[in-house]
Amino acid sequence: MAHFTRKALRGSGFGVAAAALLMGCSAPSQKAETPATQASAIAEPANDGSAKRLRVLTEAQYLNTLAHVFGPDVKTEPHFPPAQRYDGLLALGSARGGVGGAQLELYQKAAVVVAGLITNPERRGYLMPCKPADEKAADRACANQFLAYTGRLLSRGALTPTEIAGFTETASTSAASLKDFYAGLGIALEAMLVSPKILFVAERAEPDPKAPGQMRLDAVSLATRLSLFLWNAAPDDAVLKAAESGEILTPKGRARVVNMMLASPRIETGMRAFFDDMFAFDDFSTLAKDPKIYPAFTGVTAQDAREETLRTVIDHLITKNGDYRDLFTTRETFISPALAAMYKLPAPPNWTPYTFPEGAPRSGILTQISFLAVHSHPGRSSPTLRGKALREILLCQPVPSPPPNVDFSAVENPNSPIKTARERINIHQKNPACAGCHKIMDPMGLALENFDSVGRYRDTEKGEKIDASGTLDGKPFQDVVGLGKVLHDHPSLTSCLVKRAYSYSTGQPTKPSDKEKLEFINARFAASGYKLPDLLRTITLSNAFSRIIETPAPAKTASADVAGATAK
Amino acid sequence: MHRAFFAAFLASTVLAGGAQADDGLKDRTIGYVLINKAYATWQTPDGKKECPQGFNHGPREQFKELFEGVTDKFAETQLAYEAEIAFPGTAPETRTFFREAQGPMAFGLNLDGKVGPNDFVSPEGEKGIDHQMYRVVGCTENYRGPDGSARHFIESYMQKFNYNRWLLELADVDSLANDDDVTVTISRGLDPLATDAAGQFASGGTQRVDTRRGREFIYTMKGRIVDGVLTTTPTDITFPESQQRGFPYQSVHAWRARLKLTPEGASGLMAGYMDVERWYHNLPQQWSTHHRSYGAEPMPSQYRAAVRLADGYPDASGKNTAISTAWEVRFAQALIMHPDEPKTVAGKGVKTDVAR
Repeated sequence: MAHFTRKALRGSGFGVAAAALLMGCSAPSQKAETPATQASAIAEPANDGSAKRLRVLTEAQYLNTLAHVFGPDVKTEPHFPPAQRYDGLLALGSARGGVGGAQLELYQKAAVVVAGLITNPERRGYLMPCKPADEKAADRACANQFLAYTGRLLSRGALTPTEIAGFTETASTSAASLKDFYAGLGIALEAMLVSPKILFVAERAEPDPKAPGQMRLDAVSLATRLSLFLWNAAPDDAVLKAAESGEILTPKGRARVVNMMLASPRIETGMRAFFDDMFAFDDFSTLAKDPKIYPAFTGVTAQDAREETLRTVIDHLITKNGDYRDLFTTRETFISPALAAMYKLPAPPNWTPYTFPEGAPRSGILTQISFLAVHSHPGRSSPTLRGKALREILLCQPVPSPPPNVDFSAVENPNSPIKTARERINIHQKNPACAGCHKIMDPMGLALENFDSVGRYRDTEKGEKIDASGTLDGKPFQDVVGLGKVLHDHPSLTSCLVKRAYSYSTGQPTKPSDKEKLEFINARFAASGYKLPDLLRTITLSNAFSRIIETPAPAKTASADVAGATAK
Repeated sequence: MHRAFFAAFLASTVLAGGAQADDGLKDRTIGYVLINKAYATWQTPDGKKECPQGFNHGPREQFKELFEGVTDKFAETQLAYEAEIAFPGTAPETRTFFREAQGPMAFGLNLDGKVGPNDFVSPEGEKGIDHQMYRVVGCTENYRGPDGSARHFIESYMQKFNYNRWLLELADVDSLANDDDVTVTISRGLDPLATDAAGQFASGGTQRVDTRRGREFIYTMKGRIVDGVLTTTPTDITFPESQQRGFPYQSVHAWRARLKLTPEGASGLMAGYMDVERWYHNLPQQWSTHHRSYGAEPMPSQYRAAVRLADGYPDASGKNTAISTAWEVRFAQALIMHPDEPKTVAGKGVKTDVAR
């Protein structure tokens, strides 16, 4: 374990402080140390947590919640507008910007569809807890029962009696007017589904009785933050019960809830959403390749490439509880027929586990088609795009934008006598204005040059043998397999995941004052052997996750009115 | 099939380096899947050379020729014509007239190694071409390219329905350019054809061999490759050919293929002596009289012609039972998976109309 720890701390951007913490805390132990015991011995430094946020529920969170409450067949295609990526995550964008009229219309359209599906004769029998006395008339008691029950699950907490009464009144008035109980109920449900209480996640804070002068998330807000992070959906009945009883506010109760959530199959959905966001896989929605150059790359290939990497991540990190760093060296993956054609492998229908043999150039998720294809041009590979993406996505190292007057003619000339990407890119190295950034992007990207724009393996480019060797921050490698190994041991690889996971969990970017919190989480992550479930447990059980920094009230604006109304 | 099996299989099939060799061979094998198949029909643009008497009349025209002016006699007209289709005779036609393709030119292969008086010459000048089926179908619009209806639909259904999936696998191959001893296995696949971004059939797809219900379609034979052209040894085979009606197949004696091979695909001719009764059994079963009218196809007349022109495999009475036939075919390279060891049928006799 010492090896683990030293390596992890050496690799951490906050290594020295974390090492001191570790040595100080783990030495007295009499028991045989395991990663878990060693990790738990690292104490969280005093910290003020994060700010409370007002976020818009994402489309995936909306759909996941509907599926959990009403079943997977109650689904719609709402096409909510995507959030803007901020500080590496879309999740942070959902806490920025407002909601326009066009967006509200999308919410309303989705609500109409969902209400129709739920009150449909095929479903009402098992989705409704009661039957109206007369289907052609209002039934206030039955409507109240249904709306109170579903309202609690959809709104991530019990509705107030006033709110329930309002929705019940809508259902009753509409049913009486339409002479149809279910039509009336549908209108009330539609109103509920577009209510700010469902569409906006407004966190609330309360004084922490165990830390006078400090604030913490209230029980329901804590349950919601946990659920959106771990499941990418609203909390279910069990989590809400733990919140409503106050159990979730006790260390033991919160640990029980977190362990229950980590043990649920929904953790896979939640972590798929996190890694899809962290890896910027929303770029797949606009991915296109020139069909004349790459006829084998179809829409199905792109879809399956994204799925391949997410399957690999979930299988390695959740199912097998593997070391996060090994994702960049593992030869295990999953293939579909569409991907098999790209890998030149046979594959039966559906998904099949597959292990690339030793000696094959495919090693780690960087060599999967997803990264290779997304970070390339439509008609050719791009060491620069790939290198930039890997720096920013995996190492959390932002690369400055290029100057506006870059001359691309030398690299984009299709009739250029220059044969390989390495030769083309060397042109940048000769220009001091370009060299600064290209030095940090290109070596990683050039290591992936054995893969073309759609991720197919190649030895040569225009007849010239490809040289995939290079260095990453001083560590040399010969090829992409070597890059994976260097990346595996790169200090920023794990600290970047920690930074992203913590940001994602709280819905806000990290800031310099978060240094000690991140050091603590990094140290725990390292001590656990870089296991994702342990990282999730560390974050969700920390004060950094639940403690709230009181911020001054924002100036009153139209959007603040919405937030205020929601948070009340 | 169990996932673990496939995972183990996949692990055992990949080349070190993760990529297939540039010549397309993997462990000295290469697989192909059929993507185009049609009777090899030599034709001039206006058809006047090979069909100097014009194209054949179809069911509607023949019906008029047979029953012009006859009304209110359903059994004697429509039913009679349908009965003729179902149970065609061989007596010479008196009131209808069938137009056989004429002339010495045809695509095909020299199946018997001889140059006979009824043989054709190929457009490339090869003599002794055996392709009497060309005389049967050559002047029927349904089979003429590029857009004869039957030609189109037979091919379209071959492509769409996995029942018709045809695989060709070459093993023990040293080189796709020259190898005088390769092993050729044909079988039925289970998977759809792979397509590219433009919707064209693509190489590189996976095909699983159907060793369950397709076992009867698995045959192994020898072949040789000379200057990139594969020629297989004659073998009696059956192959599935359905237009989504029933489960029909064709039986072909001494079937062989002559295909230009590349790592991405194979194209050329396949030929043999097709069993006449089996062929005609499929014909009306696959398409109704109504559909045959699309391309003026007179089925009873075709049967008479096929019986008359049959040129191989005489029965005990000396009557030929099979007719020389050639198809133009195109294959795309495919990765073939064998879920278990196939029980091959080498040189098996021709199939009969036994329920399958």
